[in-house]
Amino acid sequence: MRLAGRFKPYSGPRLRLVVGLFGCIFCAIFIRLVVVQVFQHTYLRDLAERQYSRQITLNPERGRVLDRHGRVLATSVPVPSVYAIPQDIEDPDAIAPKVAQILGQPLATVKRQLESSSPFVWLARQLPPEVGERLQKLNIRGVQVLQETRRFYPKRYLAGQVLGFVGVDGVGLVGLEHLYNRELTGTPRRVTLQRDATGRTVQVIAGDPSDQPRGADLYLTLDERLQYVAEKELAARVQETQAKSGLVLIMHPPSGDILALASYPFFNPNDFQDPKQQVWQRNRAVTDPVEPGSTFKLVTASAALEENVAQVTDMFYCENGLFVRGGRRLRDHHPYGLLSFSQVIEKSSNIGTAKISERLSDDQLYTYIRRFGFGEKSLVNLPNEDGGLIRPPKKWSKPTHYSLAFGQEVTVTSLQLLAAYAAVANGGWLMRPRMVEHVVQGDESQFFAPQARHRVLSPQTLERINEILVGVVERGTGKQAAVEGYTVAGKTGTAQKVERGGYSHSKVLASFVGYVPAEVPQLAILVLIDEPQRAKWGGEAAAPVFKRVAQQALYYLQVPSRQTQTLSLETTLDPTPTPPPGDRESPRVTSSAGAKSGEREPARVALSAGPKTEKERRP
Amino acid sequence: MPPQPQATSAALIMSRGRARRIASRYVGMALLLSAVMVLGGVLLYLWPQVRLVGLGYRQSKLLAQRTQALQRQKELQVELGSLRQLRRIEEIAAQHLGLRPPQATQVIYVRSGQHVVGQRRE
Repeated sequence: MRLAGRFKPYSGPRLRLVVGLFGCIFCAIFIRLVVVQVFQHTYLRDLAERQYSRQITLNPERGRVLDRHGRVLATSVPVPSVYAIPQDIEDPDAIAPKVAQILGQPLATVKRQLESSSPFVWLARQLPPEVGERLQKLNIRGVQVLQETRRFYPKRYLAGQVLGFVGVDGVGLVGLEHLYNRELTGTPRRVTLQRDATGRTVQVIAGDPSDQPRGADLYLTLDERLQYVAEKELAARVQETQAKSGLVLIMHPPSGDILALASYPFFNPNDFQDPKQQVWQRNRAVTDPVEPGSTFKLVTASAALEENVAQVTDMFYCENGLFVRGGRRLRDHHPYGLLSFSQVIEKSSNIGTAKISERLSDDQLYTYIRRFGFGEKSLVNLPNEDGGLIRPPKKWSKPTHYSLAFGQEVTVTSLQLLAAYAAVANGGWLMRPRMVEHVVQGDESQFFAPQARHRVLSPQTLERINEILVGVVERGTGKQAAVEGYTVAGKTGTAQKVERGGYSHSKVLASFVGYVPAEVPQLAILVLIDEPQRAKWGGEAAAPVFKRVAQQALYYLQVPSRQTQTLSLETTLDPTPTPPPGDRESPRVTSSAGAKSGEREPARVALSAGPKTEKERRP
Repeated sequence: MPPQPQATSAALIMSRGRARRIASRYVGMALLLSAVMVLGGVLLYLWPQVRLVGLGYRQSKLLAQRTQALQRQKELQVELGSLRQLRRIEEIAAQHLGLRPPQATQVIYVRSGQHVVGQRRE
């Protein structure tokens, strides 16, 4: 009873006040809960997500550029860049000397940048990794290190003009880097991460940060080894002849594939900002048209034979080296008397060629010039191609017809000229030159198939032209282009350069264009030496380069010569298995013997056999 | 005669007190069990969460290591590409090893059908 009395429940006004107070508090909490959880739910959820989650953009790694066998010619490497946020820097005077010392920059420049009023200043970009590490260790507030990618060309000068270069902002500015910039750059991708208060990543909310996006890889038709051979021999010859510059182009006639494009002086894309180099960054084989000179006689001779206005046995009097036609004095480099049609081309007589051209009308000559692809772009996948210049017949002056016959009053690019000779080597079919073979993006591959433009000459004419071009090397002006063990067909050219409104007597373009082996052509090669000082004729300055390049290229492509021993075995001695057709191996000859008369078969070198496997593409 | 009702009343009070103690013991045990269960439930919920966060940290650390390794691989590939420059290889072959290009008569191709034996490989 005593207990019950002691704990008698109190139900007075104070208790009701406390209960009421707590009730109000709980009501307020409940109402607030409803407001937060129901009405402000979306807003607050977004606010929270913004605080703990962060969306980062994964910039794609720029795609690589590779040769026809998958050897890397251009790739991207992550490198540090340093920037400053001047408003975060407390004591620029104390920091500037440390930063300047590490960056190797003048103290005044760094100090000026650190005191800048701009919210963001680049201090240095694309530095060596160790410089970035040293700066990061200093842990200076307001000076940050950022990872960027730098384009790197491991083969340095090799095919520099073809590849072009990428600026510091990662945009292709010249060459294939510029032409295929969109494909090489790729598409950025976003990843959402959850971060803690210190900024560390707790977990990945959306996307896969390990799957770095990549731009497309570019597989060229170039062959690194042939390119090296072309560059090595060209550089040696330009130096020997004390010339100004030079070009060597190698083409695979059946496909139009450009296997090598060497332009001396070379250009190293790794040092594209070097002002000394900037003059040579242009790909002159496609951008700079020149007067071809005697190599253009191919067109005149082909037109005359195709139109059946002349026969190879026809005789032409060459006026002993001086002839006046259309008010112009035509000269030969040697005085000749009576020469046959073949001899006119073999000995490269301008007068004889002019007389051959007399049998053609202006329209006929013009038609054949255009038919060989001159006066229009060859549509090669290289940037800034020039189509050359050939005026229509109605704009010709009196001597134009004769000048055109031996390659004056017309400008062509080196690539156009080579493509014309490659057409003769390819059974008369003019091919569209090809520099890019594949663009590979992940599992997808865009293939640029070889394209035949049209047929230039009939098989009968081709056979005769081939004999004449072989004669040029065996008996004519191109003897120094002869390759031991192989039959070479080609033509020399020595074009006077235009100077002060007339033709220069001292400045010439010495050239040789041809193909080998003449029976079943595997390679068409053009050599052009600009302003040689020692050997001024095409047959002296350019033909030896043709010989050296062709010889090494034929060995590399394993094209048997007449002297090469070929042992045929019944059983395979090689313990390594034969690669499947899809695999890329060194170019090899599937068959090369036996020249046929009449319509010549296209060349049979299997230079490539389809795209590489995915495993080979990605390291 | 002893007073019977008083004895009965005392026993009743004793039994009520015992019952109350027993009841309060059960209530206490139930409360304890509930608390343990709640705590266990909380632990069961929190443990994977904590583990998840720990794994997240580890994953991000490994991703950073992977990125560094890939970067190093790329640098090494570039270095390999530079070392494979044909100019450099030819210099070594000619100057250090005394090699020279073959003459036409020194080249022999050995063939079996379409396959060139000893064919150059990449």
